Order: sequence, then structure tokens, then C-alpha cells
Amino acid sequence: MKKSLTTAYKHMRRTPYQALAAIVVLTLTFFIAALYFLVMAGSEQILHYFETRPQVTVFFKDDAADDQIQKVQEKLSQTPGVSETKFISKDEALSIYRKENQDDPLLLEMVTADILPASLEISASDVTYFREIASAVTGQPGVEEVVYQEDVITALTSWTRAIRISGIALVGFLALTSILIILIIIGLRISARRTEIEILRLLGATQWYILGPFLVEGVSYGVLGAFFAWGAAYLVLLYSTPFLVSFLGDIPLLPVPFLFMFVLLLGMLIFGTVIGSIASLLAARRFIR
Amino acid sequence: MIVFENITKAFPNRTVALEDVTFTIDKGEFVFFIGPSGAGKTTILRLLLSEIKPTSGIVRIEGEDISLLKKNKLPALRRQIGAIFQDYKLLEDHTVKENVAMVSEMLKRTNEEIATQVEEILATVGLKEKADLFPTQLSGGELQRTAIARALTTNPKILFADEPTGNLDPISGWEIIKLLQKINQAGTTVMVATHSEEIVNALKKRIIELEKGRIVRDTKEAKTHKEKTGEKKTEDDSKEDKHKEETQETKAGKAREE
Repeated sequence: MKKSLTTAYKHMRRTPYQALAAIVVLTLTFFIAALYFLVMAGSEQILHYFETRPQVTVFFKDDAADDQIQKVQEKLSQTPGVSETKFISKDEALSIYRKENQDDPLLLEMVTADILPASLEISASDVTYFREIASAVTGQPGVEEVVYQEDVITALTSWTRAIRISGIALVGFLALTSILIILIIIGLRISARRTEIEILRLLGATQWYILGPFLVEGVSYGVLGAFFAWGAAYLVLLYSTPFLVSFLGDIPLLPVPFLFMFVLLLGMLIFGTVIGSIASLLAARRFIR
Repeated sequence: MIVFENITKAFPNRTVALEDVTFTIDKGEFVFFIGPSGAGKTTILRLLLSEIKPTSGIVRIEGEDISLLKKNKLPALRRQIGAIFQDYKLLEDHTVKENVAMVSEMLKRTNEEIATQVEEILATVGLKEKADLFPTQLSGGELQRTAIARALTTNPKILFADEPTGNLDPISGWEIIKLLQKINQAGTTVMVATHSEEIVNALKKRIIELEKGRIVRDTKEAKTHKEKTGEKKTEDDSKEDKHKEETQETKAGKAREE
């Protein structure tokens, strides 16, 4: 193993530009993959945020009695897909209203607690339950109106799914490109050292002794490319965090925890190792007789 | 002990390199394989290293049929045989020292062990001063000695030198032969493929002569045959032999002086 490492290092030192080109190309490829992965993870997080927020709101009539509200709540507790309900009284509604419009005194003056309806905010465990929940409470005594943002969530879900599918396709495509890049470079290396390989074979070198350095070299390209790409993606993320925070508003997505980035690094290193091994094994394949 | 039993080797282009070749080489023997180019000498080395398989017949080393060896056993077999190739097979981008150390490195020896051994072997072949030079900076004789040094690193039981004097001037050629004799005296079986009759005749070792892939002469068998039949040399024969020896020695001496 030590010999393979030193020989691989020697090979890379002897043709530094080829090695550098391999690492740069792999870094760029993995960088795009890493960025896309971050977008994928971010969009999942955004969807999750919207899904867990109260999405169905039941507004009660002004004259709705407490027991009518109680009955609606009981009915909801038996309805599948309801994960949480929260009752907002007229006074609470007013304080929320005041908080949201604190910069506009004119609007604040015109509104009193009597105007605002009491309501029940319902969180669904999944977007598919919206319709069911809404129909369960619509027309119940004391209920004025049921509102739910089905379109927003449905649109978001389909977007997330599209990002996920295209992301998997893109990462697959980039993985294939990386494999081909390493395959070509290691293939060139092997064919440039064909005579040396033949001599080593005749002198009694084992298969691993001959091919080890090439495998190590391929894996090194994968690992180094993954590491630099991770670093670059992290820098881009940190640099754009202030802008993204103002863009995303209340959605608690940033700053990305370091643990998440560390797990991403591990994942990318494993990805790089696997790709490097597959590619260099493929390149060495025709020499394994 | 090396045994070639009815070996025939035909290549896909229908060239028959060896045809029904049989011989036995005992431990510690010194054998010359002679014959014109294309007679099949190099094919013997390639069969010995199991680089190619015989079309028919069996090659045995120490009683083991090497064509039955599994792929993963081949490296160990090859390391037992010190092969000195006609074209040296040295790595251009490795120094003399690195070339010689190549086989030792495969054996997981420590760097110190390798360094000491390489130094000793280079001293034996007289290349200590050239240890850090690259093959392109060496003369033909030095290249040949580097190849011999590399073959010696595993203390092989068998040493096969393919045309070791082919590209050399007579003095360098003789030095190489002396070196091979020294190795043989230390107990290694030495096989030398050559077409230099001068060297062969001067050394009076066993000769296996090949022609178009067939053995046309094996001095050991002839000797054994003579011994068996109890044939005695006539006085004239002895005189003739003595004259031959003298001529060969004079020739060899001249070459050395040159």
C-alpha cells in the first residue's frame, strides 16, 4: 500500500499538468454537483417549512358559541391527516393584526377585535389531506368560511419533485463524466507505462503491485476533486448567505449548520472514492489477465 | 532441476519455435543454448517464465508442471528465476540503483535492507560508481551488468541469460561470462543463450544446440552415451582435441587482451 502511494505520487509529480488538469476538471464537476445538492436540500427544507405551517384556516361566525367551536375541534381530532390545531380568539387575532401592521397607524385605528373573526389554524401532516380536512369542517354550525392554500403547496411539491428528479439525473450525468475523465487519464497513464508494466510482470510483480499505483492515483483524483469542490461550494454558500437570508424571509434555512456541511463533505469524499475506484478499475481492466 | 519434456511451441501465425524438445538440467549446472537467430533459444526463456504456454509437452521446475500453476502463483515462480533479457528490459526513467532494487521492492523488504543489498550486488558486478546514473548514460557492458545485478537480487536458483554478450565488445563479453561463471560457482543453475561459438568452445560447458526449433546436439547426452558404451578415445582423437582446446584458449586470450 505504501509503495502504491509513493509510486502514484511519483507518477503525478512526473506529469504535474496532467494531474492538475484531472483535479481541476473533477473539482468543477463535483462543484456543480455539490451546488445542485445544496439547492435540492434547500428546496426540500422550504417545502417542509410550508408543509408544517398551518395551511387550513377555519373562520368562525361572530356569534359562534364556545361549544360549537369545541365540536369543530373534536371533529378535527378524529379527521385523518390533522397534525396540529390552534385556536385564535378575536383578541389574539387583533394582536397578530397589530403586530403585522404596526407601521401603519391608520389601519390600526380602523380595526377592533369585534371586526376580526375567531379562527382555528390547522396543520396537516401531508398536502393531500387538505381537501378532506376542509370538507370535514365546512358547513359545521358556527363555521363561516374554510380557507386553504392548496395551490401554493401543490406547486411547491411539484417543483421540489422536479428539482429532485433533475438533480438525480444531473448528479448521475456528472458522475458518468467524472468516471470518463478519470478513465481516460488513467488509461493514458497505463498505456504510457505499458513497457514498464510488461517488465514488472516478467520480473514477478503481482497484479496489485502493478495496478495498485494506478488505482491509488484514480482514487486520489476523485478524493481531491471532491474536497476542493466541497470547499468551493461552502465558500459560495457562505458568501451568498446574507442575500439568501433576506430573500427567504421567515423560512429558517440559513445559516446552514456546520454538521450538515461536514456530512456533505463525507458524502462527497465517499462519492469521489467510489468514482475514482470504478474508473481506474475500468481503465486497468484490460491489463488484468 | 529443470525438465523440458517433448515441448512443442507453435505460434498462431503457424511459426513453430520449438519442436519436440526434451532436455533436463540439473541443479548447479552451467548450460549453453546455441544456435542461429530464430532457433528457439528465447522461446525457452519465455516458456521457463511461463510468459507463454507450450502447445504440447510439459515444463517442470523442481518437479512441478509450471503450466498448471495458477495465475496468482506465477509472480513467485518468476521471482525464482533470474532472467537477463537480450534487450536488458531496464526502465529508462529509473537509475541503475532503482532498476536493481525493483524486484526487492516487490518482496516487501525494508528500505535499509534493499539499500544494503543493492550496494553489495552493484559492487559484485562492478557498478558501484554508476549507481545513480540512468540507463541512457551507460555503455552496453554496463547495461548488461545492471540487468545481471537486477536478476541477482532475489538470490535466484536459476539464472537465464539471453544473449548476454550479443551487443558487447569481446572484453566486456568475457567479463560478463566470468561473472556468470562466478554466480554458477556459488550454486546457481546458469543457462546462457548465445551464438558466440568462441565463448562456448572456450568454457567447455554443456551445450544444447538448437536449429529450427529442434535440438541437434546435447553434449551431456553425447558424453553420457559415450560413458555408457565405454568408448575410448584413440590417440589421434586426443591430439585433435588438445589442438582444438589450445586454439580456442589462444583466441579467448587474444580477445581479453583486446
